[in-house]
Amino acid sequence: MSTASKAFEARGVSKLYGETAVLKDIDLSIERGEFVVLLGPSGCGKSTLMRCIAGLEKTNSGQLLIDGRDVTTVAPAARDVAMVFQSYALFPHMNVADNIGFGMRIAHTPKAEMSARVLAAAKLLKIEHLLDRKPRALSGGQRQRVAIGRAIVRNPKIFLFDEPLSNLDAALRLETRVELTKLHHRIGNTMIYVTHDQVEAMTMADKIVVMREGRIEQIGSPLELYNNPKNLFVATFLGQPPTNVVETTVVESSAAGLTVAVGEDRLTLPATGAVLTPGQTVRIGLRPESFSIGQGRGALTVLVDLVEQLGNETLVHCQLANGQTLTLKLPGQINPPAGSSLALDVARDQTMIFDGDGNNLRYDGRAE
Amino acid sequence: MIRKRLIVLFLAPASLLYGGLFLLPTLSTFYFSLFNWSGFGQDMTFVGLNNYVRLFNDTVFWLSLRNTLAILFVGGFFVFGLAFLYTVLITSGIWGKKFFRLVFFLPNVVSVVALAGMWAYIYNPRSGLINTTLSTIGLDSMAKTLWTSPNNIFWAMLAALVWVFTGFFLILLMAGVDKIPTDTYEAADLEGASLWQKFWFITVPMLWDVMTISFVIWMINAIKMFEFPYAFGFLQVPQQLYTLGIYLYIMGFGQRDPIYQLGYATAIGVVMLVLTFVLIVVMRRLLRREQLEF
Repeated sequence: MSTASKAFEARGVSKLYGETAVLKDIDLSIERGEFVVLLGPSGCGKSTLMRCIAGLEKTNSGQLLIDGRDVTTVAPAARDVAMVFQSYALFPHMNVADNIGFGMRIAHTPKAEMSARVLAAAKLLKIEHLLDRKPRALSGGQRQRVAIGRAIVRNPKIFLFDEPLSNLDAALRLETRVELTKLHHRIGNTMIYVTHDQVEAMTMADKIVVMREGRIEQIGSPLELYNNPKNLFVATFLGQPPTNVVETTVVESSAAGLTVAVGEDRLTLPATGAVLTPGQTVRIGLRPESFSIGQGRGALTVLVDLVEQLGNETLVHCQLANGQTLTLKLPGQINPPAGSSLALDVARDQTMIFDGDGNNLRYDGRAE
Repeated sequence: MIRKRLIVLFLAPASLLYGGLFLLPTLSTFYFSLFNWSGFGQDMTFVGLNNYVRLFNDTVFWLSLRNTLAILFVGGFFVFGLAFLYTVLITSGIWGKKFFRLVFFLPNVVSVVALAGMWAYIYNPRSGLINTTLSTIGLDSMAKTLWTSPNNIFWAMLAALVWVFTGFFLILLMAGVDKIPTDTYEAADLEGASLWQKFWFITVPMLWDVMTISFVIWMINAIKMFEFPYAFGFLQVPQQLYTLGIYLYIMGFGQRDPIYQLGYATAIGVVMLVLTFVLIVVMRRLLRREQLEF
C-alpha cells in the first residue's frame, strides 16, 4: 500500500482521558485536496481526533501520518497544519493584519514579504479594508474570516476546522458555508472539518466520516452515506427530518422480495439476501421524502397528527394504526386536516431494512 | 424622594467611617506637619514649612528614602521578575501546578515576625543555613561573610523580602493567566511560538490589567514598607534598615527611648503620601492601554 499520495493517515489511533477511551482504534486515510467532514453527535470524539491531528493532544497508541511522514510525536507547528478554532482564538490585542501575520512575525519573516502575504490572504477573504481593526471591532463573520486568514497565509498541507460556523447566525452560516466550499475549490488544500451539523456535512464534504462513541461508523461520499447507510445510526443521523424507523413483522421472505406487516397493512420490499423467517421482527427505515399520497388504497394507512407548512414542501406528522409515528416530507402545499386518514405509497427501493443489531441488511459494502 | 433618602441612609455608615477614620486623619496630617508637637497635650508650636526644611537636611531621612526606593525598584524588579518566571514555568503544563503555587504562596500565611526570625537564623554567621552550606561545599572564604554586617544587612533583608512577596504576586499573575483562553495559546503553538514568544506576545499583553494593578499594589506596599525590615532589625533597628515608614514611626513614637516628634513624623507621612500619589499617577499613565475583550 502506497502512503505517498495520502495527505493524511491515521493507523489504529486510540486516545484515553484517564480510564475513558475517547478514540478507539481509528483508521482513516484522506487523499490530497479532499474536503473531509468528521461528523457525529457531541462527545463522539470528532474534535479530539482533530486535536490529535493538530498535535494539541497526544495519542495513546497508533500512528498519524501527514504526507507519508510519521508526525505522531511531532510538535504542532512542525506538522504543517493550520487550525481554525470554534472560538476563532484571535489575539484580542493585535489588529487583523498582526493576527494574520503572527506566525510570520515570530518566524522573523521580512516585513515586506509579510505584508504582501497578509494582504493576499485578506484579499482572498475580502477583508483587506479591515486590516487595521482590532477583533473587538469586528462582527462574528469578520472574526471568522480573520481566523481563516491566519490559516490560509501559512498555506499548510492540511486545514483543520473545528466547528467554525457554530457561533454564526443562521443566515451567515449558510453564506459562509458556501464561501468555504468555494475557497476549497480555489486553493485546493486538504481540509478536515469537524461538525455535528449534518447539513454542513452533506453540503460541503467530498467525504464524510461518521463517528459515534470514539469509533468510525462509516466513511463515504455524502450521497453514498445517505443512500447506502451501514447501520441505523448513520441512517438516522443523516437527513432532516430523520429517517422514520418502523417495527414490522416478516410475512414472507424469498428471492423475489420481502413482505412485511405494518399493523393491518402489507408492504412488499425488494429482497435483502439475508435469511429472514416469517414472524421475525425487523425494523425498516423510511426516508420522509420516500412517501407519496397513494393513488387508490395505497400501501400504508396513517392518521394525520400535525401539518407543518414550509411553503415549497409540507411536513406531515402522522401515526400508523399501531401507534408508531411517521414524519412525511411531501412536495408542494397540501393541508390534510388533523385526524384525517391518508393512504400512502412508499418508494420501495429507498427503504432500508435493519436487523436486531441495527445493521442495514441492504447495505452494499462494495459502494465504498 | 424616599429612594434618595434611603441611598443616603445606606451610604452614611460607610461614609462616616471612611471620612472619620481615613479622610480626616489624612487631611489633618498636612495640618500637623506644620507644627512642632510631641503628640500629647495642647503644646503645639506653629513652625510653617520648617519640618520639611529639616527633612531636606536630614541624612537619616535621605537614607530612609533611598532604602524605600531601593525596595520599590530593586525589590520590585526581582519580585516581578521571579513571579513572571514562575508563572511561565508553572503554567507551561508541568505537573503539580497547584502544589508549586501553594509552596510559593506559603510565606504569606506566616507572621512577618516569625519569618524575620527565621531569616535571622538563615543569615547567622556561625550556625546559619547559608554559611554552613557554603562551608560544606568547600567555599570557606565565602562562608565567613557577615550577612548582617552594616554593609550587607539591607541587601540581606531585601533578598528575604523578595522571597516573602514573590508568592503573593505570583498568585495574582497566575489568576490573570488562568483567565486567558487556552485556545489562544494553542493557536500560538500551531504557529510555532516558543515559550518566550508566547509570554511576550500573548501573556504580557493579555495580562496587562492584572499587571498594572499588581504594580500599584506593590508600589503602595513598598512605599509604606515597615513590618518586615523592622522585625528583621529586631530590638534595635539599625539605620541601614530604615525605610520611610520605620523612620516615621521612630520619630513619632520612638524605639527603646521615646522621641515623640509627631509634627516631624507627620511631615514624613506627607512625603510618603505625595510620593505614592505621584508614582501611581505616573505609572498608570505609562501603562495605560485600551481594554481588551476575551
